[in-house]
Amino acid sequence: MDDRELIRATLSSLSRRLRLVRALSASVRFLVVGLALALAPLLLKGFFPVASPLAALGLTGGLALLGLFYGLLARLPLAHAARLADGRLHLKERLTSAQEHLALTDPPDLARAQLAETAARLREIRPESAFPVRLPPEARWAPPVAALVLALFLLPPLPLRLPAGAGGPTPQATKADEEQGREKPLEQKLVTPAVPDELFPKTREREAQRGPLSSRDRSGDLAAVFRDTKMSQQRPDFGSFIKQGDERLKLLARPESIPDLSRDVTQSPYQVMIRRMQEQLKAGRMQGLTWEQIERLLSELGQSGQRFGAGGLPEDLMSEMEGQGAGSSDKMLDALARALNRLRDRDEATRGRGRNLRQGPSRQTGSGQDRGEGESDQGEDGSPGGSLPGKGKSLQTRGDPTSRIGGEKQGSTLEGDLREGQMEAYDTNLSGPGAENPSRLPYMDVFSQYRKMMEEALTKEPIPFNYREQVKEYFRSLENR
Amino acid sequence: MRAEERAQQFREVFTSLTREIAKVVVGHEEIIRGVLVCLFSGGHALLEGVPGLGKTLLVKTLSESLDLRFSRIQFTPDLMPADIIGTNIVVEAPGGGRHFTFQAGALFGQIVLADEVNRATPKTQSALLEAMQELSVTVGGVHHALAPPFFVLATQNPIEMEGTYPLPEAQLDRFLLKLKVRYPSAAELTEIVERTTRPQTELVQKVTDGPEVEAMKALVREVPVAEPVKQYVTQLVLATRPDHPAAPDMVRRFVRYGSSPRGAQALVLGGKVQALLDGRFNVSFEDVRAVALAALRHRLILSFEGEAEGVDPDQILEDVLSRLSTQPAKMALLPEGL
Repeated sequence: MDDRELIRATLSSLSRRLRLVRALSASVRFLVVGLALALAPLLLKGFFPVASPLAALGLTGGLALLGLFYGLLARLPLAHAARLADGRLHLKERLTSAQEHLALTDPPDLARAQLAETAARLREIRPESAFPVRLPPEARWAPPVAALVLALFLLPPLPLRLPAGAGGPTPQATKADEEQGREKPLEQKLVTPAVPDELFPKTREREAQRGPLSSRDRSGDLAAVFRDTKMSQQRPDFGSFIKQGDERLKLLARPESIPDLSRDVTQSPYQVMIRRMQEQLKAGRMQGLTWEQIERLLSELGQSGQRFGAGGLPEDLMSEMEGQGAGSSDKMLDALARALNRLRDRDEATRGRGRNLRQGPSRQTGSGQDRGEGESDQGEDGSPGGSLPGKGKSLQTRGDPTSRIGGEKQGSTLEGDLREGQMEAYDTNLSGPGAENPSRLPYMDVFSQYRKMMEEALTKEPIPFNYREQVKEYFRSLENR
Repeated sequence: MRAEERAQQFREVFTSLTREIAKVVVGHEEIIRGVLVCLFSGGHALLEGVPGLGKTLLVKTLSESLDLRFSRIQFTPDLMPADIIGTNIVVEAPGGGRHFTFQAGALFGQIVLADEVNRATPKTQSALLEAMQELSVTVGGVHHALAPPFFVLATQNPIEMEGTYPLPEAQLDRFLLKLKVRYPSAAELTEIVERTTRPQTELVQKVTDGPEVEAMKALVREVPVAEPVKQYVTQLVLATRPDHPAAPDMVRRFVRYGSSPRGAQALVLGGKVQALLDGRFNVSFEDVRAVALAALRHRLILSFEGEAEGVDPDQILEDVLSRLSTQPAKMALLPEGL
């Protein structure tokens, strides 16, 4: 290779290497910028679960590629590379001068000598060492930013909230929920049971005519269960609800006696379903039932999250139901209804025991001395008297100790007042250490406040339309009790 | 002869001259090198220093090492231009009759030592202008060419000393380099004492002659200069002008007039000699920087503030050089250091 070719090849090599170095530097710098920008969409992953990771990936990869291509393709004059190489290799502008002399077709003697001298010098050194491949200083930010991006990518979305009105629960509603100690909104607790199509043919026909439900309609649309029943014809009777609210609120004073909300609501479809099946059988629109059909139905209901789980009814109830239901389909349905009621009672008894661990034995009969018995199902708070006034005439106010605390030295008992009729308040005068400081809790005032809050909530329609019927059914079930 | 051989001969002559002068002159390597740079660049040198530092001895030794016609002019306040240029005198012809004949002055030499040039009046100093720039003198309307190589070496005491006439700017600008002769070091002083107080003196050999010097001057001018180096020289000269945007604050404050284009010529020519001496056939930034102080320091006319502050032009030039980058314009997205 002669001198001119050597110099030309060296310059080309240096230029390529400089492009490579520039591309690496630019891509790393752009990558860091891309990683930093990718944090923004990943922070919003909760709102855009699919688009956010894609945007982050696009930003990171796109900018890195942009830097790479810019470094490779952007203009890089050969003279610039020659000058940089002169400086890096201490060539004292030999390459710069030689690069100019290469353009001369007939260079003068000293220019030719200069080319020869430069070529000789290039043979002694490694020109590629002029541009070492090194990361730019910004590269030190890449690992922490990348770790942060990866963490945001892998971790669940941050609990960010959309502004009010942008959908989802409002901050006020959520805050209210938290204040009231609710774990989840009612509609999130409710699960639509799987109901066999043959039970509600009209409903299915309407649904087919109406077309597919939106996701909002479909999720938790328990009202669809009642759409084909009498309940669907009833309009919300809030006046009645308010009128009867006091009695219901009294029930709220004894939480152990309140049926489980989700259970009651999900129990109702069983009853309705059984009633509908009975109607279908009577009308002859349904052939005789088999135990396999009932088991499959229970299994489907269980898979949809009902109380008895995916495994169906407990073994004893199942065998009892099969024993009672032998013979005809009606008997089978009656046995199924009884089994479900038994299951409900059993669950309620289990819940009662759980509460009694804190509040004393359930269904403890409050019997004041010589005053007659209190209402048996209302003396559950462990007090010797019932929570409602007894009917006896005895002036002895102190009741018998409960079995839980009877005979024990815990001297705190609740005194019951001998009054007739509805109480506006309960005296909670304590005997023992607290007797010197009697107190009186205005329960009814508190209940009134709750009632107003509930009425207000219903008036402002915070409950979705499809769930109003269920709320109504819930309070109707309370009324039946 | 090939360029490489000519360059090699140049370096040998240069080295030989340096060695011969060093036989007599102790130290002052930088001054000797500067004087030779001026010689081979075709310029003239101004040596400035207090009396007794060996300026005259250096020039005299140089003349002895060169087979050139040497003349020395001791500038004094009563020295007239005709004394150095020459004059027409009346001569009687052998056959009778009289006519004017030009009697050449001391300037008609090849190496002219203008000793203590700042002691002569400005009128006499100005008599050197035409000779230094055009290598010719005009007397009585007759143009007389000076024999090449023509090399003026002027010495001067610092201008603030008594009984001196500072050289006018136009005169100063004719000198390619202004070399500052400094006091010798202790070791050099000891060596000076030892050499100059013994009976025998060193004999200086003639190294080269006029034609060879002229050939070498031609070789110097052939050295190519890359475009970035030319740009650097231009920027350097422009930066010495206080009205230029690139001028640093020091220039704006202390300089009244910056370098003339002769400054740029001096930078390039001096850089070319430096390159050849370094074995290269191209001028580098380093070559330019090596001669920058000597080539520009006498071309800066200080302002009143600069004079009052006693600012040394070298400080200003060093400031300019430190601010002027030799690197190309920073290219976007290149790593640090490139």
